[in-house]
Amino acid sequence: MNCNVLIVDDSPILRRAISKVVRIAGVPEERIHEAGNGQEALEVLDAVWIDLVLLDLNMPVMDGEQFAQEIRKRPELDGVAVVIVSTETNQDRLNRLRQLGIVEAIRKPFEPEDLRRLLGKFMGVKS
Amino acid sequence: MSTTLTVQRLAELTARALERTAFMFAEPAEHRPDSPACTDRASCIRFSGPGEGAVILRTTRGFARSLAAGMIGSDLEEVSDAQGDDALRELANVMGGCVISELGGQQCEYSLGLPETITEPHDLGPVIGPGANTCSLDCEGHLLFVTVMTGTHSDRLAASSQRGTR
Repeated sequence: MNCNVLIVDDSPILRRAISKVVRIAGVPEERIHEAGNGQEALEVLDAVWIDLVLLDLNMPVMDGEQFAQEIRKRPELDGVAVVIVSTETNQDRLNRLRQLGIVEAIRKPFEPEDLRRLLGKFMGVKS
Repeated sequence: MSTTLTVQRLAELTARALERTAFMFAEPAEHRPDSPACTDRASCIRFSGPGEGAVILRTTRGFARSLAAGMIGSDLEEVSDAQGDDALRELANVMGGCVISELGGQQCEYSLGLPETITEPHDLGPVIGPGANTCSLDCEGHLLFVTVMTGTHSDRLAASSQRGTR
């Protein structure tokens, strides 16, 4: 599938688990990128075109909400879809994120099938 | 806090989290007062909002490594202790989300901190105390204890935990 995916999570093991699901959904390994926090994710976005960001919220250095605010300041990143993959349940925070253009949210613990379905939705458009 | 969380409900939430994140199956285990003493791995996550508290996981090295293997679909021999600790922090994160969702309901106003590794799990007994809300699970032969602490009791955790290096 012609889609570049960026997984942003401070847990290496969770990034690996999500990466596996993304691969199974049909994204080649070389199109899957990883970052451990929002700051690292911005560096990846500066270097590579990304279609879909799977974003955790609670991270050190730069959290997911700060990252979402940063990318909305950059018009060149308008086409990047951002999906929250997090334990977040705080409604105020989720509303703020929707206003920043977050397209969808998956709550942990999710089933791999939930993520695959969501990837299919986004990549179906891109492929 | 708007609602309370029973030990039975805590066990159900934990079993579901294990199933979804690592394809592991758990059932309630007999909780003996001395059984947490046999644990050598622990993690926790704090929450704040209408009330403050923490979720603490205590278990064994074997469980932590099995959890990591289940999460990434690897053989147990390929998993390191560091990955086991990372997996246990992530389970604390997931359980923290489940607990604040139960406590806060539809309009949840709670927020989570970052998951941490507890470096001296043997010292947790007096910190947690006998009255804490703890469920005990047998997860494919490994013991797992999940505790929800609320109020000022959770402050006592500070001395026992450190943020995990990831």
